Amino acid sequence: MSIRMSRATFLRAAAGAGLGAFVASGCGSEQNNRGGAGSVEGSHIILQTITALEPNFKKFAEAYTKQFPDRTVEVRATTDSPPDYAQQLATARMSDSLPDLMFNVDFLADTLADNNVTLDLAPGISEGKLGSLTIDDFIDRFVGQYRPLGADDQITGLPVSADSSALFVNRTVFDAAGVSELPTASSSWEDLYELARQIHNNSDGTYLGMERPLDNGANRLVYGPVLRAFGATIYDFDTNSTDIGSGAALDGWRLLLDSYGDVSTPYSAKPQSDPAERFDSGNVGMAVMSSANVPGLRGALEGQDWDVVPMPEINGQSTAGGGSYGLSIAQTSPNQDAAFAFLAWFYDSDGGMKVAQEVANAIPPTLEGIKNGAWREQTPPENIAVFAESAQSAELGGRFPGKMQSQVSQALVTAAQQVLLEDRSIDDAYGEAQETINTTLKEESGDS
Amino acid sequence: MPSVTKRRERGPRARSGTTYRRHDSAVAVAFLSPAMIGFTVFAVLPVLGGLALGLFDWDLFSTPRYVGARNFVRLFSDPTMWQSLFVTLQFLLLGVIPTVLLGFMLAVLVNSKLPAVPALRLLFFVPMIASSAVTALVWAMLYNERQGFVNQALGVIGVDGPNWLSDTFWALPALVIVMIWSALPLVIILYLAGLQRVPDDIYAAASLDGAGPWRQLWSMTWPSVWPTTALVLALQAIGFLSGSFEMALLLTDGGPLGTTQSLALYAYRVAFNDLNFGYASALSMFQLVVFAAIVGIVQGVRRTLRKGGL
Repeated sequence: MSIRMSRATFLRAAAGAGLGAFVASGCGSEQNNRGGAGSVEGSHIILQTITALEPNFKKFAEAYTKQFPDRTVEVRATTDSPPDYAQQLATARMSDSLPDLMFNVDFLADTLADNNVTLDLAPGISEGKLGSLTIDDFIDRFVGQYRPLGADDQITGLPVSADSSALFVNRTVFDAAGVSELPTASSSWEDLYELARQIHNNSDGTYLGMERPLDNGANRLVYGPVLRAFGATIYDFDTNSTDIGSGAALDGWRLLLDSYGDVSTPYSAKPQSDPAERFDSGNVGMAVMSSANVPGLRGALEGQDWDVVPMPEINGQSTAGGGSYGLSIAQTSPNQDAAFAFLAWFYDSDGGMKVAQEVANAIPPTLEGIKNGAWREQTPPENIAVFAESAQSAELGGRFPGKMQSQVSQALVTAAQQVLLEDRSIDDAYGEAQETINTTLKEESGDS
Repeated sequence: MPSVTKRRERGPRARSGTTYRRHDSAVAVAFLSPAMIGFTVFAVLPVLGGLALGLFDWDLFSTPRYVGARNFVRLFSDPTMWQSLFVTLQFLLLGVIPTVLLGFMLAVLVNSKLPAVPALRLLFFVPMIASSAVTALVWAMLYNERQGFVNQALGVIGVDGPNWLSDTFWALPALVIVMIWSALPLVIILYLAGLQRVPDDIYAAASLDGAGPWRQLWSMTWPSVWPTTALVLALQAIGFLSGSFEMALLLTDGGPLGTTQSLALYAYRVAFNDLNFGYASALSMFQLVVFAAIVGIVQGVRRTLRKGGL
């Protein structure tokens, strides 16, 4: 046996092996499993979600099987990280093992839709596969997150919860800092900043006035609605561009960047870096957060007096933001009807939505659920009904096509750091961010 | 056992040289093959796969598009890549030499017979059992601008400490300190093993010749552990080149303004945030070349010094 190999032969063999491994990994292969309707009775479907939501979905699955003993839902979860989750879906797609139902989220929805991973649910909904529910029963703006950009007639996912933002207020901190005035529905952003400064100064820094609204510079829940209220366009599909670095948007950035320092805390490059500086630590007077945080806060702030008030208005427009995660059916699922049957049960106010409100305090994304759901009775916060209004008026936009979202965030973080750490002017920093984003948008769409 | 004796008597001389070499080769192949298979599957194939992937534009979901050498050409006109390379080299330069020197001195201390040494030995090895996530959490608290121990301590002597992890100048040194802290246990263990091999006689002789402890340390101990130093240098070079990824990801997210974003972190971001796996692979291949060059330089220095009698 000869173990000698010429250099050229070795390189050829190695290159062949490398390319072979690359191709065998599934890269380059077209998806050829097209899925099918399957049957509902006696069905077994797989639902993939993120780790944080696994316990809730297991409860939904149990409740579903309890009601329909011949149907089972297997819940799988492995990660909480969106990039890892996307990677896992891609890997599953390569090996033809995509789940029947999957967790989806607005910034991933376009990519999944563009690449034929998620099924267009619109025809199935029209055919009555959601039982008595029609698409008009959902809050349109939340369903809109799952309509691919440029293909408004399609729906590639359904929202699970109508999450929107409000101002969370910890009265215990206000009392401890000796600040008697509390934020109200008519407070402006500047009023909130002033109250936050009082908390900070009165307590000699022991208590923080406000959690950093912009966080590391790219908190969409906050910057989206504020910029919109000032008249900026986060993303315009027709022109494939943004104006977040010019004109009206600059006023929004000026307002939000004012919050670092004695209103909140100094800038931190790492998002949500210090647990002691977060609202759930009980050391912080105010925070702009989503209704999704309510269940967690009930445990974390037990014994403290906290509530929510509507977000301030700018130019008569609410600065409430929102978003949701959703559920999508895989195009390759051989059990699409069974997946639809689960969704029909899930969105029924006496089925999954009832369980979701009980176990996860979910705010149903349906008009009926918003108006009469059991979530309204659960306290604290006393003023929980605020979310009914904000869910219907919240800014959910700011969605960029495909994989652009992370590059937008990076450009905005860079701009914030240039302003806060290098004293660059807001106009220059965000002007450059806008230029970077618009250039990348053109490159991605092949216009350049 | 006559048969054994007989076989031994025949010995290698009884076989032809060719038969012996063939037998030897087969044994060598048998022993080497598990490692070679592992190396091929876990090192060579991924590298070749990465090289191949670098020739495509791929976002994980869509069909890859062949773009030739475009991703590799782009490397040289990408300012973020050059900044990340510079950051990677900064991690290396600021981290390796202090780790080696500090590790050596602490190993000497741990190797001594001072009364507090057992307790110190325990403390020195704590970083080894702490996971990266725990290490990052603890150091983030220590570095906190308002309430962190570091700034509180500096405040005692009247120094107003910076916002360590969000300061464009201090973030990288702050991370390097964490990485040195994490690397020290292994370095101390390696030096301890080296120190055990230094005979006590030479110290007795040196004492007789009037050499003090400091002179003994630098003129006798340090040269005696040079083989260990060479190993530690190579290991730490690799450690700081690759280890900067996780600490930066956990503590600074590569910020502020990219001042702690090494090549590995940049490649990770391009792949998993921007879903640009082709360019990320090109970045990784470039990083591999840089790493190989640096390790080659370290090995070259080692050989040169060895030839020079060190």
